[in-house]
Amino acid sequence: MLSLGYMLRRALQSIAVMAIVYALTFLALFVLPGDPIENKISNPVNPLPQATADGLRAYYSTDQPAIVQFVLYLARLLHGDLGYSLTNGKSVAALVGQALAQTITLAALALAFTVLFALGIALVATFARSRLVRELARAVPVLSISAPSFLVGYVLIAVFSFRLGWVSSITDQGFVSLILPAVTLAFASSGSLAQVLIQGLSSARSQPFVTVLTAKGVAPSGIVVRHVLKNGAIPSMTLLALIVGDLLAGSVIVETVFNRTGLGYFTYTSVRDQDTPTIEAIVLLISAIYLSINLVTDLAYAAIDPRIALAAGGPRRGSARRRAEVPA
Amino acid sequence: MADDIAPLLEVTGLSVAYAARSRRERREGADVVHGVSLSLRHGETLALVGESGSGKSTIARAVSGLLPAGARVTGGRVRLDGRVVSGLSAREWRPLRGRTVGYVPQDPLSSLDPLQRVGAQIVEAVRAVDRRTSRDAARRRAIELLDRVGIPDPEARLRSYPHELSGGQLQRVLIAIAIAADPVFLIADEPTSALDVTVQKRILDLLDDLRREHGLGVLFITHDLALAYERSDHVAVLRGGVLLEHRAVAHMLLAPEHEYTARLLADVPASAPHKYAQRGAPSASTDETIVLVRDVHKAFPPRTPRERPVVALESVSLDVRAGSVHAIVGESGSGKTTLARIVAGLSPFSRGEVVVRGRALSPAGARFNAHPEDLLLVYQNALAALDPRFTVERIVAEPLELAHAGGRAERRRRVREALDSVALPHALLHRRPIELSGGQRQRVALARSMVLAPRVLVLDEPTSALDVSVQSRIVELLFDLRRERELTYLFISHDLGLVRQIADHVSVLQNGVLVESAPAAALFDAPRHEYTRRLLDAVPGQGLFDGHGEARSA
Repeated sequence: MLSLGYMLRRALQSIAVMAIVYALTFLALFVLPGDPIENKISNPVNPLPQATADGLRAYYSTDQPAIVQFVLYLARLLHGDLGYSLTNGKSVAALVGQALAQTITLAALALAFTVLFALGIALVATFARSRLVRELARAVPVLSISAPSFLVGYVLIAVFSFRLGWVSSITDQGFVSLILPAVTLAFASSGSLAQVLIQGLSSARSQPFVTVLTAKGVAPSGIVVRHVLKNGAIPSMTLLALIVGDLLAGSVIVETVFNRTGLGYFTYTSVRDQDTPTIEAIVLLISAIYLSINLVTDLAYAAIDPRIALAAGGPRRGSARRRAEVPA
Repeated sequence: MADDIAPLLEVTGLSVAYAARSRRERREGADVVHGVSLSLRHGETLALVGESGSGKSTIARAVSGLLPAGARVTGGRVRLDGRVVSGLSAREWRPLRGRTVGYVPQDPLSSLDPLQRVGAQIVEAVRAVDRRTSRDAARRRAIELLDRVGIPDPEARLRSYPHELSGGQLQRVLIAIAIAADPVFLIADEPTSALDVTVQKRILDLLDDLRREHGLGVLFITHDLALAYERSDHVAVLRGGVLLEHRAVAHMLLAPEHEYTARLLADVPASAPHKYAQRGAPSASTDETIVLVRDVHKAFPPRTPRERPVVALESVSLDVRAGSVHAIVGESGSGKTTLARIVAGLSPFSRGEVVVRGRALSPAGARFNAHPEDLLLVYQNALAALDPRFTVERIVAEPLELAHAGGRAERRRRVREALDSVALPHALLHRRPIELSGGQRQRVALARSMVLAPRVLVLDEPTSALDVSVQSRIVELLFDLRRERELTYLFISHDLGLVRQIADHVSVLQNGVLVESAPAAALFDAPRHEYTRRLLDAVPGQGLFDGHGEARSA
């Protein structure tokens, strides 16, 4: 199923997409009148010392035309050099790395919470004995989708930091400080996931094979755990991939509320300060994240669903049933 | 078995209701089964016969504890293997499952978990009834079971996923699952309605063998009375949830007690092969060839570079005479539908020539049918072929809109005429497909074709999803339409009983090759190809009737 050729093709596709994204971003930034880098460095508001500014000018060859700069950029990129920030002259790679480190642990925890919340709600909404409980569980995703995350974040801070005093709202206490922002992120992203899961589970549980399983004498819990869950979760995998991407790309609002400097906040400040090299690096990173998540999702589909064949354009359901060469 | 022994299954005054979904249902009661009494002895088969909505499946589910949520037994008693089982909770049912009752479902294609290997699903059945069975022992038992139900190379087959098996093989796997724990009672809920005739015969033979071998009592649900007569000892006929008669097949064959049973029987194609003989080809039937197919090849490109292309049709040639009913028969995968799509100009073909009313079709195929006034394709599954959001009126009017034919008033008139021609009341104009019965949907699909007054209709199994009696109404309609409009039918079917009733000429396809093509009478009286004979043998009810539609005494 997983051929080397397929992986190679996908990797080449991903590199091509990233090259296009990179070129387009560069183009977009240079469409603005004047040289954006020169403009930024010589901006009177920019607090850079003269020596740093001169260094940056030389590094980015601002006296050359845009196309020469682009080639220079690319050549350096291929050597892993992401350049230097225009606002403080620090290495972009280091800055991005710092922000990413902040984000990655938060995103992982938020992802775990998202899956936990969504699964819990979907299971209750589909399998609870009481009709009232099922209906209530179905209302939760609507609430979580429509509640703005700054509100959820402030409510959590108000309760757990100010009222109960369990977590500091200002100082970084390591893992404990991750919990509230992760819950806030998960609350928002679990809503849509839960809705798709509820749909998937209810359609899976009304499949004829569930009747056969019941008739075999399999316990209801066994039917759900071994069969309905897996079948019902397949449609939500694409959405889960998008959620992972969103969590990693960062959320400016949640990071602002919880006073964190992750990827979201970093993106915001870079765009605000028109820090071109940093923006380029962030765009590159985020497209790499989405591309690899896409690849992982496609592989996961093929691993879970034997009916899916991996073809050049991505995974797809086999159209013709392959019948074994024996009479019925 | 002696009469004094208690029957295996005894149903007395059973009533089943579904939870009321509307106020009217609550007022009138939503009973779908009303006071039905039945009995079945060890080693015998009882057939429950009726049209869809007759309550036959509901009864089967009620006696096996498989009623869906919302349905409940509102009266009566079910005694199974010496134990009263009506009113048991799901938990109380579990020890009976597999060991007492085995269940063979209707649609084998969706009755296995698509994500799990076949072997794991059989092993699960073995271990569900006895947890102490080791995985190894369960696996050995699974191989034994697959071997018993006639699956070659069972050890390798354990590793197959459901989508890698054919419908017939899947049904065999499901039978293996049903008998995994040696039950005494087997429920077969229309076990072959999704399968080809030849496969149906082999599956029912297998069930018969198992019944004899294990002394099973079999409750066999079907809408085909001929099948019921052929395969069971007793038949119970149901209509609208009420039991009309319940007698031994031998007695019923002599003379059905109930008028409804007689009608059901008359609707079975095999019971009256010459039913439409007097309505045969109208005078318009000439030697003119209206559809000509010459040496057509069609191959589907391989999905991956390593696979070989799949050959769907291999030098198929046939002539369809104007005004005739030309049937194309064969099992699924024989290329029938591909041929229909090619003739309709919707599918490209690799080689050969197709001429419809003097117009040669392009081998490249087309995105849409450019000459609907010549030839139209009517699809097999009417529900899938009708836009669920459209009303009947819009569905039927759409071809006129696409052809820019007439003004609004003109279209309204032609839509109503088309409905009249298929005997649908105008009251249905504003309904949507989901609100119609299966027969009504097929009539809407026909009406949609009729508005453009085509010369040729390609009918792709137009009745295969319908009950026998509804099928018979649709066939009558097709004959009426043909007489009024001098139509030609290219009739695709796997049901030779039906084809025998209606066709003037029959072409038999096997694996994309045309093995025999002859006038209907000649083909049925003296089939030349071995494959044609096999298809003919598989038609249910063959031995029950003689050539004149009279039931033979058994």
